[in-house]
Amino acid sequence: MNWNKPKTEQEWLEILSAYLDHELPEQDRVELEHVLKSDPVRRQQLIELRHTSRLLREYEIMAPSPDPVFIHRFVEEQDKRQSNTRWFSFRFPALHWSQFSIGFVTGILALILVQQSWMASPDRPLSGMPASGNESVPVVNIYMTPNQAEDLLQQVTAKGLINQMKTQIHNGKWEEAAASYNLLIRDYADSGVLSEIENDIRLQTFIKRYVEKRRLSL
Amino acid sequence: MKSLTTNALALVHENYGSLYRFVYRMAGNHEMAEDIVQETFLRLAREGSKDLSGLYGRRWLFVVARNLCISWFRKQTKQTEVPMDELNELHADTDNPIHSLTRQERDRQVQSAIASLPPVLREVILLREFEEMSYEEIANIVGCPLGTVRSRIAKARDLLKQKLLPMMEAE
Repeated sequence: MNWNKPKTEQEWLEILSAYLDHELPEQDRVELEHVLKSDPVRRQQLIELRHTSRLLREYEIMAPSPDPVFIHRFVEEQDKRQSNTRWFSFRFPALHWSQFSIGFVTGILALILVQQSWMASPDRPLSGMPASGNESVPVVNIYMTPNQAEDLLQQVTAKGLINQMKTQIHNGKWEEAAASYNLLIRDYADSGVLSEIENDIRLQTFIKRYVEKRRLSL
Repeated sequence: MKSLTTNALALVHENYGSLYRFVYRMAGNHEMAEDIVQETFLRLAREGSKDLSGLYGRRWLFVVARNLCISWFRKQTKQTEVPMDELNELHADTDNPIHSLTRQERDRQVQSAIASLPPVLREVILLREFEEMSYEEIANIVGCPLGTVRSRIAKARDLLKQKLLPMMEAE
């Protein structure tokens, strides 16, 4: 870098001030020191700036110590912020605010992408059209009384228990299968699904060989 | 968590004095200086992250204090004069009253010269002369280019030189 000799008084002032602060590039510093040796005006200017700087630095101020009341308030504020952070960490253990925000934004973007890909999908039925070509999907509304609904629920549950019992027998869990059977007899005898047990040879064998024998032994 | 409070308190004790002196020299008002310094640290307690340590924390504090000073200046309708009683209180030398008076008079003149500078020149010269910050650090705090900092410091020095010339000649 070449030495750009200052042209104006302001430029001289800036370069001398920067020299005083050790903020001049090496080459500029060398060139300026060369000038200062031969130029008494610039030398005097530098002396005055240095003197000004010294006078300023001699102006000392005794700062007060932090007030204990202020320190108390500071710690309180700090604790308040920390407890807020702790609350958040408790609710979302592995997350910090930043991570939570990133996760939230990513989730929203993912939802938007899924929605857009669904909108662009060729399989998506146009509004007012059935889902697949000419086939219409019948929609059936079933109306029933509360008692009918309860009966239906009983049947579904009893059916589920029978299936569970079959699985338990298949897996050799006799005790559990017996418990399922006892539950069926106790709570779902009226559901009408017990005929399924009577028609199932495997279930009948299990009941005769295990449940009834065990009941007799008791 | 405890270490976070300890670190923040260390930051308070390390920087309270220099921040106070900076704000006081900027405004020449003891009460205002304490208010601004305390508000700066309370903001640290409320908003600061755990990364505010060392030089970065110091810079953050000076940026906040400087911004609060500017807000305070904007609220003022006229330039703040240095109340003599505050300087007396701060520099009372009971052992040598003459020295104390001379010192007070000189301090009053220096503070008056500093106060006569426009705030943009005042802040850079204070950060340079009293906090001994580099031009780059000052540029980061006041938010302007390095070249601007350099020319502002030079201009501030020149204006102060003119104001303090009688004192220099007396010496």
